[in-house]
Amino acid sequence: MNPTNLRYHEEHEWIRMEGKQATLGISDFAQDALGDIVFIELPKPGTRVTAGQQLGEIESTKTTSALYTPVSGTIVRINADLKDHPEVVNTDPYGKGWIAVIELSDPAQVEKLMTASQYDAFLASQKK
Amino acid sequence: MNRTPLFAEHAALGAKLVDFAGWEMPIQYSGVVDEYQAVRTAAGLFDVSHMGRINVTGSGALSFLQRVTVNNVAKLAPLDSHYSMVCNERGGIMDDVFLYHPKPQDFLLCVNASNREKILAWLLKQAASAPSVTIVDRSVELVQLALQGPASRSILVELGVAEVASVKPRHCLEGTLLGVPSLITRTGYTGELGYELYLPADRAPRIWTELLGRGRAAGLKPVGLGARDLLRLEMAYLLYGNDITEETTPLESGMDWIVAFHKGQFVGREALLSQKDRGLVRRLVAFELLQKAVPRHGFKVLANGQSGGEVIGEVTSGNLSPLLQKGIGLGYVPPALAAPGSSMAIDIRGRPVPAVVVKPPFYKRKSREG
Repeated sequence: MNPTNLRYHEEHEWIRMEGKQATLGISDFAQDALGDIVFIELPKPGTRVTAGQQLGEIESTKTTSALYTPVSGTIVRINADLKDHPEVVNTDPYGKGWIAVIELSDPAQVEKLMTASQYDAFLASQKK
Repeated sequence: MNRTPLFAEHAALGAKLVDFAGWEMPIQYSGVVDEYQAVRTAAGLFDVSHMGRINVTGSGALSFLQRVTVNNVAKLAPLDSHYSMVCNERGGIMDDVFLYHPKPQDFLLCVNASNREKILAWLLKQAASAPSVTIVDRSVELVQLALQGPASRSILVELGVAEVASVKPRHCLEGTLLGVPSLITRTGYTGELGYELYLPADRAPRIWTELLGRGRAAGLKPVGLGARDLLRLEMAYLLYGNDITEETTPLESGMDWIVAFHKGQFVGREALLSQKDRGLVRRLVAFELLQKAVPRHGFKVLANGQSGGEVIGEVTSGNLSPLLQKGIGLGYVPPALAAPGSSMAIDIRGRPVPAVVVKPPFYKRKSREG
């Protein structure tokens, strides 16, 4: 159910690699747990980020949740459409609901992230 | 955990369930914003049976209720209802309540789920010395549904309750809904035209399912506690445990209009009078953020200064208003800073975000039905 071309992090972010650039979003599990997303606060393009660091905040009707980056690098783009339509993260978390693109400083970090099947198993283990 | 008689219906609808004051309740079905929109534009059906329903009857009921609630029960005609509070001797709010008066010598007190046992015990204790009062907890035998939204009246009329058309705000009707004897009241917690339905618990599953089925064409949807909280916040309606507690008083929470000092003795009167004489040290206000951000319960209110204004209060409720697309909230501030237009800031995780005090409610319904 989670796309196999992505890599996943324990904090429920996903990463899609294109050359040295990684697109980041949150998983279907994360959007479902958050409920209706109403506002996403993100850093500006050009900001340098470190793996494990908090990137921003996701506000839902229920709660505020931190958005983490599992990779280090520089933010090159953020999804400007989310400013007026944050709900796209709920409806299309792996597509139009992408959040940011990061130029990686250490592409090897991606290898440490979970594959889709590992993430599915991780979610199953969390349910117990 | 407690469950209402409609638990199986909620589960069958795919509701997400959460623990609310010891009750396993639906927080959402289709989604909080979708359900919110249904109530603002069509209609929503809520199961609010987790709340407490306490019947107070007898020739001494009126004078008893005058003593244990702050509003003036003598002004309540049969088939009317009003918002009120139960205070302790210190004037602290033990609960905020709705008091219905279906017929002479018969009152129904609707209390919060979190306070149900406390208030029942308090009433029984207070009634020990009061003559001719009978107090019966009817929370289990009755369910409480809320049918809210602009289409709520036509849905009830189509189901054969034609009399709702003439029920004025806060008034009640003892009628029959789909063959089931019901108390239908024009009250709610959403700011929309709406009704609350009190009916026998054993008939509730059928009524719930039929209401949803027959209202679907009018846009009726089941609505959970998530949307309910947004709807009430846009009206600046108080939430017990967040905006008011035993440590706050009706005067501080801006509810001085329900405190009938002139009616005679009532529990908390001396303390409230003395607080009124001394002057308040804080007051609940409604505020809007001037930049997009979301205030939450427990965030600090800061004095409007450049950065690092001093802490002057605390947010008690907050969210992003779907209507205004702004962060809105309620919080306590010193009275000198409580007037609409007053500037302040909310500490959003270390970042002061400018805010302004506004006159509640945030949401004003366009058409005021008769």
